[in-house]
Amino acid sequence: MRAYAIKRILQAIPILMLVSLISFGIMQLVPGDPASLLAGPNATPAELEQVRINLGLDKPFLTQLFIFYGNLLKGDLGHSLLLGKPVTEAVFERSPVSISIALYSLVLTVIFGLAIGVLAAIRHNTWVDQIATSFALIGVSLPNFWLGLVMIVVFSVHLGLLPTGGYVPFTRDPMGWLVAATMPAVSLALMQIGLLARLTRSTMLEVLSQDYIRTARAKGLSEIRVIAKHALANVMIPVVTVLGMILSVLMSGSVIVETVFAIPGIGSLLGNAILGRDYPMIQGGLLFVAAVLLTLNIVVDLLYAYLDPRVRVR
Amino acid sequence: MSQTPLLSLRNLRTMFTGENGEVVAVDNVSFDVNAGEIVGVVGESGSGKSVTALSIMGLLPKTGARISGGEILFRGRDLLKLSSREMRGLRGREIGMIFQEPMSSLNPVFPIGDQIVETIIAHERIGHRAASARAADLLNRVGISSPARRMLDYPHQLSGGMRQRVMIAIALACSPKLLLADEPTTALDVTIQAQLLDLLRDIQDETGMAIVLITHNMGVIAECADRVVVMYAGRVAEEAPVDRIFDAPNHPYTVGLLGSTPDITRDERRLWTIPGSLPRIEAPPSGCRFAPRCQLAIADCERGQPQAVQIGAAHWAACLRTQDASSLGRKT
Repeated sequence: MRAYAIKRILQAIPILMLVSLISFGIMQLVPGDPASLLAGPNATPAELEQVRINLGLDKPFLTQLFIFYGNLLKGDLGHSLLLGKPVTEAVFERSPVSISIALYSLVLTVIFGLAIGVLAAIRHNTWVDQIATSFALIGVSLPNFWLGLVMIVVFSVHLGLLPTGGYVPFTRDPMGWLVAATMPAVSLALMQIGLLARLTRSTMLEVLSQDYIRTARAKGLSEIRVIAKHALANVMIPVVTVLGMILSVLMSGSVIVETVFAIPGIGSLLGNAILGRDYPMIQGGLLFVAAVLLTLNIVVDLLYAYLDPRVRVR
Repeated sequence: MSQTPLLSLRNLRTMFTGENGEVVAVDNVSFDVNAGEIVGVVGESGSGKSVTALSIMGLLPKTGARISGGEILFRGRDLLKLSSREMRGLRGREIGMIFQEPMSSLNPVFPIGDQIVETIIAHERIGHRAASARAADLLNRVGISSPARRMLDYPHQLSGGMRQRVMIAIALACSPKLLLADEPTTALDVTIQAQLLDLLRDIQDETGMAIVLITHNMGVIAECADRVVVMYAGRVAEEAPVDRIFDAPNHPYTVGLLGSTPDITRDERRLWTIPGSLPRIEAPPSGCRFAPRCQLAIADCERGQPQAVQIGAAHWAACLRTQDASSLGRKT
């Protein structure tokens, strides 16, 4: 198990190198001259030259690459052009916001997705199953920004229960965080709940028809134990595999939801950077998001190996 | 017979819901199993052997199958009248079962030791440590060496024969009175088959439990069974002590079954087979179900289900032409 973990972590290094190379490439691949784009149409040649020197674009390609990696190893991702502060600082300010909301949605997804899927499977072909499958279909079909807007109208405007937007850090006020993060988390989670419920239902139905479930019943175990132990442990294997993908979607899908709910997360940071052509910010932000996703995927893979003894041998 | 049998099936009828209405998978099946006896249930695939076993265990699929009549008396109690809770207490404790597919019958994600221990804990007030010790003993008993270490193994680390031994250990965990063995050796290769049958017989000798051994293999029957129930198309064709089945079969189907068993002492180039195949369960013949394939069939055979005729001590055959069938048996 430990060897497997070390192997998985070592495998992440080349991927991270590749991602950083791509994010470095952004600066090189900008159509036209990034310096003139940044300096604006009215810049004098002298100003243009100054921008180039600031960005290091006057140096040869390989030198630039070398400097880029050198800075990366020092944890220096450059300076944001729009915000006027280091990219790392901006990223570390904003990322807890997005990550906490993504994790909140993940918790909702796992709890409700699993519960609905399991319930539908053990009450296969009954009204419970039909309601659950319809709900899952609705969840899958609703776009999250639309859901966010509708929730704002219902819960904030009409009922006045929850704020229309904004964010309170968890460390400052956990209840305030919960109030502010609930609608964004729910609107992010609903589609994933639908997807997970469908996956859980079909996997559970398949698992319940397996011989080892019949064995568990033949041993005289209670039906709860048969489902909650013997069936669920096997259902979790494919579920955990898709959890990695769901997390990526929750992280990247937050751009739209953060805009709808006016949340200062990494999504809106990156969105604004792209609109404002803040290249160092885009570079740094991408690299950070990639690193987070990579880490989460390693965690998922290790969890997968933990759940399925047949994987550990490899 | 003075003693009351351990298990007694009385006119058991199990139905399945097919695409065109209900079909009868087990039709009017009656036989007894006495304490300490090995009863072989033999018949080809689709004859209702497994369905009979699952009916006894109460493990028929929840939708699409039901028991529509008869009684299953186990130690005098009708299992069909028990609540699902009472039935659960019985399964694994008083009636154990092993299945045909050792490769898929164990849960792949739990260590085998855990799968034995949980059976014991489900039925007895016993600490985890004591249950573990008993599980190790059981593994040792079924011929798995260094059981303490093996208990931590996962099913994929064991061979098919080893897994079936683990299944036997699970079935024996609470010293059941009755073991239902549904084709326990069919999926295994021949040497392992013989070892496992020896094991089952040894355990039966030691514990005195009764075994219902379901198989399609006449060799297995000859080796293990005390009494034999021959099933055909959901009905009992013949029931007799094992030596009578082999020496004096009285049902043409039994004769055919014996004739189509390979035998190296006979000098034949081709294996004899029973012509035709099992009748379709949706549209069984109106009379004797074997009539369309029977070389002795007469017009009366199509007219109604033949009643079981007593031929000798504990020997019955459901056939109108038992006399001729027995002479047929001597010919082959």
